[in-house]
Amino acid sequence: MKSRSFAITLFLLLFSLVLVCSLSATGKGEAAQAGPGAAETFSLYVGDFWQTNYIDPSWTDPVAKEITKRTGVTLNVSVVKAEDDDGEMNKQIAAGDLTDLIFKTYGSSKEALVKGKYVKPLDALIDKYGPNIKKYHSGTFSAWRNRSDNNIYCLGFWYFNKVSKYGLNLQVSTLQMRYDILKELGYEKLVRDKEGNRNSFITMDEYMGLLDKVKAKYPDMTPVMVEPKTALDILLKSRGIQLWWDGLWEDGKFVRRDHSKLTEQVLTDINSLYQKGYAAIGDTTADDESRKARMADGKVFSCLGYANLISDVQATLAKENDEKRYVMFYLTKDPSVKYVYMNGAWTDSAAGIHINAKMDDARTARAMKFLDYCMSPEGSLLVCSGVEGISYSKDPTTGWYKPTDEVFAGYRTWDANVLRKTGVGGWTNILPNIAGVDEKGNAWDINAQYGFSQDKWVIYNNSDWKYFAFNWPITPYSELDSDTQAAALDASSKISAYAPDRIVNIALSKNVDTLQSEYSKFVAQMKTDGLDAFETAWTDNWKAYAKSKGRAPEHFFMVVDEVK
Amino acid sequence: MRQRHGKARLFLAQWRFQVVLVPVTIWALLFFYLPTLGNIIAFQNYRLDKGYLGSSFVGLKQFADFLENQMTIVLLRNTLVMSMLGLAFGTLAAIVFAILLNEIARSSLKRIVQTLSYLPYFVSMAICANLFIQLLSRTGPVNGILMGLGLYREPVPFLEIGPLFWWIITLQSVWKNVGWNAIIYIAAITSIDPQIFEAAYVDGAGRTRRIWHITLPLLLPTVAILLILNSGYLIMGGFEQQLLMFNPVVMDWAEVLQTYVYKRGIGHQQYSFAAAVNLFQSVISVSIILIVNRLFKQFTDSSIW
Repeated sequence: MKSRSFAITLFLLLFSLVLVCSLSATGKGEAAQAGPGAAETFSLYVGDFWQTNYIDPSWTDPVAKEITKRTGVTLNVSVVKAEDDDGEMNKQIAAGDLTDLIFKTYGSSKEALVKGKYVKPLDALIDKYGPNIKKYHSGTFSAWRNRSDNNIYCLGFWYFNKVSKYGLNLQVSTLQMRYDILKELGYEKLVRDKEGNRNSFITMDEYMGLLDKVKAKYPDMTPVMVEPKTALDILLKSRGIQLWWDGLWEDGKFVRRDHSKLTEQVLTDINSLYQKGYAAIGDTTADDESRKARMADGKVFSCLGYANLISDVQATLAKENDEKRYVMFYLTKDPSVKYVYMNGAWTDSAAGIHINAKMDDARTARAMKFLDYCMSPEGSLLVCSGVEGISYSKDPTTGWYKPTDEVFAGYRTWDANVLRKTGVGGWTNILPNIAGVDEKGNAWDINAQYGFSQDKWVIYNNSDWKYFAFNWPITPYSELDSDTQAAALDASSKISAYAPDRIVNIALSKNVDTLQSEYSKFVAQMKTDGLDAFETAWTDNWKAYAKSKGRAPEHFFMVVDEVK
Repeated sequence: MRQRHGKARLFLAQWRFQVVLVPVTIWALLFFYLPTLGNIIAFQNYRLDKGYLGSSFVGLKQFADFLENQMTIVLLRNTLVMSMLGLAFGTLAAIVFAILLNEIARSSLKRIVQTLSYLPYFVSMAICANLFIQLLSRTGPVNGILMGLGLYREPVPFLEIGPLFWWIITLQSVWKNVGWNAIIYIAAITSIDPQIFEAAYVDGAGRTRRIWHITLPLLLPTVAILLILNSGYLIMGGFEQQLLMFNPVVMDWAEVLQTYVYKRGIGHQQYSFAAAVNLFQSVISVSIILIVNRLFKQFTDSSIW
């Protein structure tokens, strides 16, 4: 009896162990039925954290449903859960647990996907199944190619087919000032001239003058809230310098922006804001909630940085008075600076969807056809603007795509709830599509044209769009190769572990002497950690990229006026 | 020989128990012992796409990289100082709290106080860090009180003074853990024979004398054991607390080994480097435990082995 009950117990233990192991295995896509237009499901992993907040992974929003209705394809979407999205992707690669389609834009995991041959090269597939990709995006292929083997491995999203004033969202590197306070101070540049005068440009001297006035007239108000890392960018760009990620071209080589010959001076300028009492160190060391509270209470006149916080507080600030809001200005060192090269996605993007190397030929063909549809005019309109009658209507006279009030308001403020509910805005940043304008000059992006034309603040903020913005290439050239540039990669990881915090620390020095001394120590430390190897590798990469695009490395980014 | 036969026979006689242990043994081997083989990456230049077998072997390069790094001295200093402060004050606070709690006569009040003392332990470190940042910020209530009382005319930048960071971390750690850490000491005090206290009382010993001559000496073995065990954590030095309380102004005092490994090793996918540093920490931790145990054995009657 005892032996029998023991045997039963043991059998149950082993059975439950086997059951648990088998249940944990997940299917990754179902078998395809033959034929175009037939129902097909692909698993898609969104491996960048930023996008995950703006999509509904259940694939039930109106855009998703319409995509399935038109193409027969359903996406089984899973998203990265942690902010360390590169680390999460690396774990998936290590576990061999990859989905059919993988969305990844940057990081070492992107390189690992290619080098480990986990994803398919797409050239032959584009040739065979991608007529729209070839027709509308072949100009970007050179940017999409992997440097080591010259193959394309992913399809970019939100690709601008033409220069467009509707490519907006440039607030990250601008100076933001309170419109109502400027009005009270009688600031003369509030009335904007749409015909071309650069009224939204403000020199450093003008800005310092305004800070003086604010400090005198509003003693309870903080003249400026400074985010030191972003302020460094803004002040470097104010000199007409072209910045790319963390670097700039200087004296024949590509250097880190914290190692430029101008950096020490810029840090001194930032430091002077604290020394003169315009900025509070407490704001820099506080948390985001405290900063937002102070902004929402109207206690901050201007911001150098913290664009994400400004987006969050605008609605609260302007609730009772529409003019009580932050508006964008472009800081210039002096009037001789004609263009300011803000960040902004424009032409080149080699980041997006990859296809799992293990997918069979039939399903791969199906996937490519689906992606090609997304990159067609019809597909792009759906991905970027949603469904006619649900998220927009078409103006019979102008041909404009007019968003519904909900989409207009929600997309403009990046209201995640609206984006998830309607499907508009979220899939734009994941599925391949055309951004820019169609043949009639209408923007694919639902809010861009309408927002630019109808929202007085959008026009106000972007009236000088010809003199700023453009070109944010994310290309294989920008990344260091782990095989041939290992020393540079090693140096990059060492320096990146402390450099961002060190720059802030230096900017907040007690006085100029301390700042200079600390900056010298910082540069010396970077050099010990391999700065020269890092910058040499970057210089080589940048030269190769500039050559591939037929541009001079010192003047790579272009503004609208310069584009032919 | 006879003893061995006896043991073998007993082992075989209990074969049912041995069989029941098989799954859990396999589980332990798979999840605790087998993964330690992964430490091989500390001696490689590990790449995900190449795996264990494909990644190149670099010997002690990762360890050399760590030891030669300019930041290592600062990291070790910060790690050891914060750990030692936490250990010293944490132990002291727990002992004092346990003794004081034991002196409360009313059992209902004792239970309430003890329960309340546990609560901070269950508050997540994220909330705890946020709480302290709010309290100690320039516009926080602590500065509000200090300025309100006229003690200061301007807010004190508590979170921006480097060396103060260590004390804030210590205070936070003590506040959060004192109730929980005191449990063992309370149990140890409770296990002291009450007749000893009664005898001392009869002999005229007051409360303080009883604590000094009875409670503390009899608590020493427990303190010793816990100190020996906790000494192994000196080099591990915390992570979550420092990461959450970190701000760039105090970076030279706030950065510890684990946060640096996180930023560089995990943030930049330098897994070999991360493994090397952690292996280094583990070896040092074991060494410290052995040395401290030896010292306690030599100078006191208390040791783990």
